Amino acid sequence: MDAENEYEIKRARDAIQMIETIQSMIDVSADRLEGLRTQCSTSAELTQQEIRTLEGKLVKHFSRQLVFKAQFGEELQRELGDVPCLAQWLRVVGLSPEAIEAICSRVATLEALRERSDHELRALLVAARDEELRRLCRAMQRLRTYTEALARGEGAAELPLYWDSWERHARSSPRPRKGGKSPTTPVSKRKQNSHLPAPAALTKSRSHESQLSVRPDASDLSDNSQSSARDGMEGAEGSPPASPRDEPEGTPQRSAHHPPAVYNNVGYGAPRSPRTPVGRCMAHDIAHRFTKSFNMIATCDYCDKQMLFGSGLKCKECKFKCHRDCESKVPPSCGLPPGFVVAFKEKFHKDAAGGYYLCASPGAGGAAGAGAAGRSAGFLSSLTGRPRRRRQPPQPHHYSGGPDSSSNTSSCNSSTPSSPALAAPATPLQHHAHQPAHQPTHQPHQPLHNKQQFHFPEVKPPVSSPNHNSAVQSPARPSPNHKEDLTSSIKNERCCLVSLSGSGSTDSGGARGDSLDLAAHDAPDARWPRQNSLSMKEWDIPYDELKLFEMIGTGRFGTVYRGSWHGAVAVKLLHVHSLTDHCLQLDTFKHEVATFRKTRHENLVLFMGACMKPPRLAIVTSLCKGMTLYTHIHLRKDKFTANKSVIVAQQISQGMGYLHARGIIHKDLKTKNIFLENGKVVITDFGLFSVTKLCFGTNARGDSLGIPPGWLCYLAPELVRALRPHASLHLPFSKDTDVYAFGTVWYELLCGEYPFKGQPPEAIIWQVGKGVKQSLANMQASRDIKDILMLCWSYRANERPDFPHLLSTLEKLPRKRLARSPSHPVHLSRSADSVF
Amino acid sequence: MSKMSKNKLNLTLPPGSIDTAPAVSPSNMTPQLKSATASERQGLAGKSKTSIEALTERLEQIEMDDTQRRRIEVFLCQKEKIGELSDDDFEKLGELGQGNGGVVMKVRHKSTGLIMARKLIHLEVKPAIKKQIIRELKVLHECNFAHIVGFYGAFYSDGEISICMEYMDGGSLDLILKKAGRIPESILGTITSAVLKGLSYLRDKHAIMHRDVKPSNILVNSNGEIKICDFGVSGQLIDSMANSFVGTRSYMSPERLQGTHYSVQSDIWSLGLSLVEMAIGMYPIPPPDAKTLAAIFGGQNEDHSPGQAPNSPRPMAIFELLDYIVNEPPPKLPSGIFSDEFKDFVDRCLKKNPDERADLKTLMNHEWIRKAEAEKVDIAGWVCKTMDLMPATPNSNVSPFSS
Repeated sequence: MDAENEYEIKRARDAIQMIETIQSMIDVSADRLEGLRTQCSTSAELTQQEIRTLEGKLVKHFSRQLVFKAQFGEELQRELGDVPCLAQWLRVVGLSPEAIEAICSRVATLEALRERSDHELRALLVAARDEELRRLCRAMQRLRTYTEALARGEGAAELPLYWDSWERHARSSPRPRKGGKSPTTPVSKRKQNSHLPAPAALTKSRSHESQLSVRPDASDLSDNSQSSARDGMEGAEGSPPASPRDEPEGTPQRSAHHPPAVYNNVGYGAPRSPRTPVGRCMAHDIAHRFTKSFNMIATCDYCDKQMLFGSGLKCKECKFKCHRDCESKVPPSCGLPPGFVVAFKEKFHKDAAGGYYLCASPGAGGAAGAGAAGRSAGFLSSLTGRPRRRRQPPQPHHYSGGPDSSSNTSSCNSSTPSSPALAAPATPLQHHAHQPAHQPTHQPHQPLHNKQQFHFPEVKPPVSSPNHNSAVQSPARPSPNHKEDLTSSIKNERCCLVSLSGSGSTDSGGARGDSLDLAAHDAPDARWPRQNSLSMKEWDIPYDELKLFEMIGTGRFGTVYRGSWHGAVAVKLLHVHSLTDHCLQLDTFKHEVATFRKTRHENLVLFMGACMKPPRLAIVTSLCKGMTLYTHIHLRKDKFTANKSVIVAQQISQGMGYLHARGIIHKDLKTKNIFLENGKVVITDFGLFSVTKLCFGTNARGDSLGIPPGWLCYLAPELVRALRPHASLHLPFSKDTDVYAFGTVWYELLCGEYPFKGQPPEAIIWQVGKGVKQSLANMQASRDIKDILMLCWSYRANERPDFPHLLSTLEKLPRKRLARSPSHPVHLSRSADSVF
Repeated sequence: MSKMSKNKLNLTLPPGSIDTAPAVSPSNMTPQLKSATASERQGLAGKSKTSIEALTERLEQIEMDDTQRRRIEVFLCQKEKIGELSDDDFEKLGELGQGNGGVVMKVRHKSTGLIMARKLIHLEVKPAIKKQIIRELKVLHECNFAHIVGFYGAFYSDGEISICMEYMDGGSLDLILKKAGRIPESILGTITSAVLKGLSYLRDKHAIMHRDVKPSNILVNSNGEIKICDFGVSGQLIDSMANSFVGTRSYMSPERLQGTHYSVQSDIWSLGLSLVEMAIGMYPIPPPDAKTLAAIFGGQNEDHSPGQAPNSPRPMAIFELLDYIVNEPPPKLPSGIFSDEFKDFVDRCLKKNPDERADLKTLMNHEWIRKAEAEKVDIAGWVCKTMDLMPATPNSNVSPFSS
């Protein structure tokens, strides 16, 4: 009795604690979400993806709170009356303060609100904008869905849980809540969705759409564990908007229904897209018969990059060679002469999977579409009894730029519409999704990186029973302990990604084509996580996969090692101490790192990924050959002629201009971060400065600020004036401060030393803060050159030129003799890395 | 004195001319010092091993009293036994503090049992630079003076320059200040006298200026000795230091901040500012308002209640603080609490224009200093009381138990 009582009490205490923990997570996520909505450009895809991820997280958190709370008696419930917080939820949903007030005045708790149908919700929000109503309905539906999933013990199921709460312009949503689909009924979600065109559809590019259909296909065919995910997908993003058809209610046995569903999907899609199915039918459709080839050291016929030993495949019939990773992208061009292959590729590119799809029988078509997921597709088709198809299906997703319908079939993987590289990363995703069922089959062909980048949830039993989804989390675990919960939520996020990629987008798509193009050109890179803007998770590099060799340097935020990760890389290991205190910063860090993915420029180091698991935090970039400008100037005392200085400065301006155009502020531009590789400038460490926040423990000394040598000279007056013994890292960096730093680099190039040389830090701080500049009296340089310097060092930030302007000024500088533009030798660091 | 037993060579020093009054000679003597912060210093013999005679000759020329002379003698003898230092020779005893650019450890020299302060400065430099630094540091072997922290030697190992110095068991004045709250005027007078002598010695004998006078670079021990450390002897070392630290306080003179020419006069400013800080128990920029002062002094003079936390000034940005030094009136001592001489002394140090600032010689003859020297303040007693030390025994340096 007592024991039981005690147990009860303990359980209650645990639950309360749990709820509180979740609350704190909600607070954090809600803040970030708010920040993303208000402070970031919500038109940016990355932001949107982030918002979705957060929305998903928040839905889960709130759902968990509800579920936990529901487990307890009245008393406790009363005690927890204000948890979860209704107003907070509504803010999270994205309602205006007025709307929130209106609702709060009429509904007391989130539980109560949850019971309202869409109709009732509409009644609550009479005064609000349509968009708000949409968000609320959608968000409530998500909440219900997930709460129910939790209750069923399917918390880990892959459900799309976002509702796209950013401000959008235009886009009359076609599906204004037509009639409250039974919001209250859990089951109805699917139905509802099909009625309500997903909001996502509005914003998404067609790539999503395409994925959507693909996905289901895949799950159908493969009968994999996707059903829950796909429920979500369909529901959410799902089915082509406007599609009249109600999908069969989501039962565990979905797979049974699938084939038709898929087909339907495709069908819908097709009509809407202008270019639809037209071109897809290629006359040539002969799949390659690839076999592993171990003795090849050859060039990939697909991407033209070198293949390393044992990494390639070769078609038994036509000798077409390609990387294993490219296999999925290779069109079914067996037997085509090379010239035609190119044409075919292009064609394929445009038509995407569609063509293929048509060629295949409808049933297979589904499979093919699903096939987007490269190998899994193969597997799928094999399931459907068309073993030969195996190799073909893969390509579709890569090309799936085309018309809606076709892309529907094909591109389930490409998750982010406009991100160039999507295709590749998507593949892994797909795998992930299908993995449990297919694993054995896929294994052999699975691209290396897939393995690395994705950790398949261990929980998932490799069962291919009809309702795998439920298998994901044992129903018998209503309240997993916190940790488990967290992990499962992490997994869920992953799953979300998957479903995200499957989410339907209604956009029809020109844009897609472009992105695909890019993907094709960058084929090798395309496989990298960095390409995928879905989430940072994807270019999370497992620490174990990194090999570290000798240390090649230490910086403020860590130690740099030469390492190996599919080739030579530079690994910056961050010194992070008490990370527990730094969750937020860690988050910020991850977010910032996410933006590096966007960079691709000759003069910028290639960002390859990062280890995100504290305490293992590392940033992986290509390895810079050559020495830093610092080494040249200050250690080796190399003299830079005016011409050479100008050339270097031009390249720096180019790289920085690009960075700025991407909205990235370097924050730590200095000669130590600029490499000279055979005359080519490579800028590193951009955007990492804030990482020092994480690592500041190392040199934090009570009441003083550690100042690395030379650092002060790069700080613009507005930064110097903001230096504080504590918290000095919240400095007002801007593009202008980068320009100031560039001025100092320019000075070093010309003079071979730091400005304010030999002066103590305090003196530099006072002088720079006062607007005193290093005297140029003793400097032997032309007026023009000094002018540039003075402009960059302008006291007022707005008087400093921007990089494009600097570049043109530098280009106009008279040259003493003909200065040839530097030749840019092929940089193995880049290409080699990308090969694998 | 008992320490004589240490004088194995049985050296004697001819009495040299000595300034007016020996700077406080507490009952005990002995070279056993502790240098809390980093410092480098003293020691003529060291490696160069000029004959002891040569050294003593040089000592003769320096103004020190017998006691001081003897202590140095003992120190040099001990040092002679040590020879070349290396990483393996030491046993760590604890951390003494963070100096500028490095950590200072209390260590025992295994073979001799000597306690030393070892300052470790992390440097990643080329061998050539290392050598240059070590070479520049050798000057420290020549700096043997009663008010300069003794120097045992410097070496490089594992990316760090080690500078081994005399261990001063009383620690630095900023530590003492933290414990004591404030430092009484009489003690400050004696300290100032010692610092002035140290600065003159550096300037006259070695033509170097300190460049970093501040409470944490003035060390004391339970013998009542007062020594300065951490002066800028190696330009290369300064240039190579990984990080410099800028904090809530700066003792840098206005002319240095402005990047103009500066000289020993700059050290005078720093000394003046340090004196104000130690006298009122808080860094005087921005100047404390009347209320704060009233809280500190509670209406009475010369009372130092230990542990009294001075009201910390509102946090300023570093630039703001420095600009205050350059552009606002210099700090001064509150009136009615300190002697007029002291006030005047400080005012003469804290002239913003270095030319108007009193020079070393003038200050050494300042009335406040003369008064202090005549007074014979028991520094040893004060140090021991404040820092809870046992009064030093002769040659306690050898004792592993000291502090």
